[in-house]
Amino acid sequence: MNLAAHSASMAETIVFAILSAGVLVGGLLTVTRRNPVSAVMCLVLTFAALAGLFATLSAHFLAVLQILVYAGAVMVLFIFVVMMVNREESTPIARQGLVTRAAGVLAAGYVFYRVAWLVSHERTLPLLAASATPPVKDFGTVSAVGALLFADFLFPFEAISLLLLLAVVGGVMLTRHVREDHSSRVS
Amino acid sequence: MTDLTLTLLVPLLGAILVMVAPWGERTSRPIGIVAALVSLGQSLFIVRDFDKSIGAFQMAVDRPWVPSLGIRFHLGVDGISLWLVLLTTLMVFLTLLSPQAMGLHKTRSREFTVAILVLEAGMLGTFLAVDLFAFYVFWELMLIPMYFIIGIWGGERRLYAAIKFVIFTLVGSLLMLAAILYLYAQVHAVTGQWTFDYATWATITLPRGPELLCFLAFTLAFMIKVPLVPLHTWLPDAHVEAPTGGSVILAAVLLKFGAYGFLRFALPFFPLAAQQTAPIIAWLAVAGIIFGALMAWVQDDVKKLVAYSSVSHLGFVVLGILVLSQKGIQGGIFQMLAHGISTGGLFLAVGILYDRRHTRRLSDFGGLWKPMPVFGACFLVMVLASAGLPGLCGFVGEFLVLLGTFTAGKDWQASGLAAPMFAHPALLAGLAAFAVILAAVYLLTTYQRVMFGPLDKPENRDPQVRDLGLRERLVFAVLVLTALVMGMAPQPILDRTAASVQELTANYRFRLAEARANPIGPARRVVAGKPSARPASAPAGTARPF
Amino acid sequence: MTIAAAQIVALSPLLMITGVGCLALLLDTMAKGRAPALWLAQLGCVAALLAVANQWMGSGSSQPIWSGMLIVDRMALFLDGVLIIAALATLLVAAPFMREHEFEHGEHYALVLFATAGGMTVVHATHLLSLLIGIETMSLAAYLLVASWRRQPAGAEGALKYLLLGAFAAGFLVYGTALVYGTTGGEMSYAGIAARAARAADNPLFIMGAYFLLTGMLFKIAAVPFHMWAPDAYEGAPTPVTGLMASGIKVAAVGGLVRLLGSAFANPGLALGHAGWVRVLGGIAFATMTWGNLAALRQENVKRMLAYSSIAHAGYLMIGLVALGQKVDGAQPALLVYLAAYAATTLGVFTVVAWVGRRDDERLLIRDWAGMARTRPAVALAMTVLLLSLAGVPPTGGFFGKFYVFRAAMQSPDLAWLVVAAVLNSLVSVYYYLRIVVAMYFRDPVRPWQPFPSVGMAIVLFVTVVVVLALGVVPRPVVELAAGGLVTHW
Repeated sequence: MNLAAHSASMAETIVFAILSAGVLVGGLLTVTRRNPVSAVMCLVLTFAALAGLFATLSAHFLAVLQILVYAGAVMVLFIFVVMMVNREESTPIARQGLVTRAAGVLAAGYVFYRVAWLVSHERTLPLLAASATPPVKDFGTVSAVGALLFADFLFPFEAISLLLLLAVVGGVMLTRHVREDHSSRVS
Repeated sequence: MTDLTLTLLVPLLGAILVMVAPWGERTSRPIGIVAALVSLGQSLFIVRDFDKSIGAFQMAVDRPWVPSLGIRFHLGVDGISLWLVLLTTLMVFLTLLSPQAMGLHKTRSREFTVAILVLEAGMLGTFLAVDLFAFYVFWELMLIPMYFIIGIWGGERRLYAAIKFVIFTLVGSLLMLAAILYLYAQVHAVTGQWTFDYATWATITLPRGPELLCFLAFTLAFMIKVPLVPLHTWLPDAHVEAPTGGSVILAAVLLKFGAYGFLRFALPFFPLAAQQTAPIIAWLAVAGIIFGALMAWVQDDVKKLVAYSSVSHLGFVVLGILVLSQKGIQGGIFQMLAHGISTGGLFLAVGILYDRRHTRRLSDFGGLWKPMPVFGACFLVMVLASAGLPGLCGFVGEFLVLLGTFTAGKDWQASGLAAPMFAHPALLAGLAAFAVILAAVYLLTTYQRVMFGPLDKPENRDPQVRDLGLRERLVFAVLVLTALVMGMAPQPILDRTAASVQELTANYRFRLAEARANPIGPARRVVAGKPSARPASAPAGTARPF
Repeated sequence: MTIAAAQIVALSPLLMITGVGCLALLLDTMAKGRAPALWLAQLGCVAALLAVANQWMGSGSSQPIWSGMLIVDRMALFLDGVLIIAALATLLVAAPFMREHEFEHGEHYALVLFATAGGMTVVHATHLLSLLIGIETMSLAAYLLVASWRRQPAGAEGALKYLLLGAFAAGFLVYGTALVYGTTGGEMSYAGIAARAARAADNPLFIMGAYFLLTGMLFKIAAVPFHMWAPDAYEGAPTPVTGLMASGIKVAAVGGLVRLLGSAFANPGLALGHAGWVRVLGGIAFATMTWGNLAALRQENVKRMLAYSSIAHAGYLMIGLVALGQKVDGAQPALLVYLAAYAATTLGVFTVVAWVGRRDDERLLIRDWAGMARTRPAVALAMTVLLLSLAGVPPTGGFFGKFYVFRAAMQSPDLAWLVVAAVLNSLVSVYYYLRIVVAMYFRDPVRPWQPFPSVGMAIVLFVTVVVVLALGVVPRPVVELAAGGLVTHW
């Protein structure tokens, strides 16, 4: 293969590695931080890296949406709430269930081993299949995504709105102030 | 022509009536007695209409239940089940009639009557079922009312006894369910149709390995019920803790299901496996006969004594069946009936003693002949019937079984096959006969300790210890009369069982011969060539395994 | 692409339930008291049932609609009916329960309906995305319902465990979807996957994706070893919600699995063989039955015991799934009949559990049930019948369902061991079910009994007992329904 293509694929790989590292590191840090604000910030890192990954896959619209909605709106909301609630640093989870943890580590290790084996044999195994229909010309743009959402994927698109409604209702229901007296009407 | 469905429905309707009748406790007993009486009348009609020349099932009721799965509501009566049906209705009637049925807890008689009637429906259904699915449903149906009867109206350790009863029975019956399902699939594999019909299943021969496993599953279920040692440990507890009515029905009817099931299903379906394991079971039966007798001899609790004597007597039944000859099986069936009458009567007597004296310990009795002479006479008849005195029912059964065992070798040689089981039929018969002597010993000494001797304990002189009342006399009259009639004139009973038993043994020998001729065959259908007294729909022709 | 009216009408039950749920939410904010929302929800259920019946008459379209996302065939409609009836029963029981324990809020009714809508999506799904969305909707509604009794700390704990593990399971589902998408060349619909499965069955990544999907679904039906959330969630939830989870949600998840395994992963290369899911599911079924029954033996809390018993029943259900994988003809009708019988029995049992408690005294320990038969003989008798059905004693629907499933399993010689194991497990289960019966009948009452009067609960109890007995004594109509019209020819 000629030099340009080779260096292009090298560059791709490097970019992919950096972005994936960003995603993974961000995720790991999020679940291990004690300070909630730091955790949220690491989550922002994850989402940003994810947006980058979308961009490398030519899903431009999704990348922008990811930044706008997730890293922008959702994370800002998280920061607001975290700062308003102003919790102390959380205490670590109790150290129990060593046997199940060991079993979990072993199982995860096995899966990891299998995946690593697959990756290392990627060239000899027919892993990913080619799609029957090649991607459309304007793949990843707003119009293409819109066409998909309102044509083939109309039902999931509408059904997810129910899921979002549930989340809203749940948020209200679970955080409502419960009066201590025995009135069935809660404020 | 009697409709067998009605026979099942009457107790159920009676149960429903009792549940919803107003004025609660006072009406429940009479309604129950009436329902049991109607049931008894129906079974008498069945006996009257029974044609003793037909060996196959008669008065059949055959309606589709779940056709796509091959389940039919198929009832029928033949020589083997005929008298057991009558025994069931008779004992239920007598139980409901006797005032001691609920033991010492004379409350909630409405629920008790309902439980007994539902139990009766289950028992009748099990005896009358020809379709294997229906049989299993009724078999399990008997479990829960008995559990409640022991658990609610029983003695001190009733909970333990009830749970033990349930668990033991269920172990067997659930394994039997697995075997039934397996057979069901095999029948489909061989004949191409889904059916639970008895006649079809009786013609399917399995390969040896699966046949043995299925046979063991069925046999386990039935032998727990008999009970055969060493699976008998639930019985003394259940009998002792159950109220009198529960004990009577348990002994008189429920224990028969083991032998009946073995005779009806385990033998005809799995002849080769039965043949191979017959020696072991026969020796276990004889062991049970002797063990039961010995254990009864040392008991101080009268109820436990009668319970162990049950184990002993029912060993005779199993022995008789395993001989697989006309005499042996007919003897076994007769012994089932005789045991029902005599042991039922014994439990009733013990119940009356308990009711009067609130104790079951032998050492507390003595000299009761003075205050209770009529009771003494009835008790004596029951004891002698149980001991096997000629002229009473117990003798005929035991004699036929012993005779069958003794001549086992010759009977089989006559049919061209080697003797089924044991090299020493004479030894087995001898040991069993020895146990008869033991029975006489422990029964008569028990009677003596209860009724004779000086009336030295002050409690026994209490006016509470009164003789039999009117209802009790009626109950015992029926029992004594039945014992006498069965003992003096057993031929009508034996006549009606003859045809079915003959058909069963003929079939068995035919299929056994075929199985021996083709030892490594696949699952196959084997049809008897003899156009005996079969229903017209059965295919006649030469036997051809395919 | 224009949306044909026919497609919308075909989904009318689902749309009705969703719509009525939203309306109930609105009504709850606007009207005085909770009763209007409750009545609207109940009427909505009835209307949806009528819509199901209407669809049933005209149905037969075995073609996926909405671009391959959903299918409206008779199996889906049958399960819809079961789910809607479960929702209706839950509503009837939840209202008096919440009033008695004073935590009533209108969102509860809407959430029940939304959970049902999610379940209906799952059983109609023929595309991995619909399955995913349906599962998520159902689960999210369930998390909220479990946590809805705010004054009970056990509820929050159970909901948190359910949420965490459920989210984890959802992750498996999504990852599995992605892997399947990649390895089949962009197929996410069941038909598409099935078409590519022959080629992809050798692909380790595809197998991994399939197993990830299976794992996610197994979480939802609380199979061992993915069952850890179930006892705590079932115990902490308000009892009517437990009833819904044990009946409706489990039925929906199993229904989804039936379709997933029966069409997308039905390929023998994937199903059978050493690493095939038939074998794996067989082992999981055995572990689930055994673990569930053994754990239930040691429970003193009735709800927790019933939770473990529910886990054990998932094991019996999985035997039917294994038979389905072996291409046994009678497996699918057997599963559907068993699901119906199981749902009816579970709803009845949890109704009784909900009924026996009072305001500050939930009476959840077995010894608190002592002597119920004296004060409330009818309820005790009903509970006995329902427990016998759970144990599989004739002549109840539970026995017939088990028999039907075992029959299907016995047709394949490899599964005989499973049937024997299941039969022995039934024996074990009888022991702990009878413990409740013993307490009710054979022990004297320790505390006075005053169950609160409630017409709704009485109706539900009566109907479930009648259904259970009818399924046991005259199962023919349901069997013919299942065997005739329901079998989906993939």
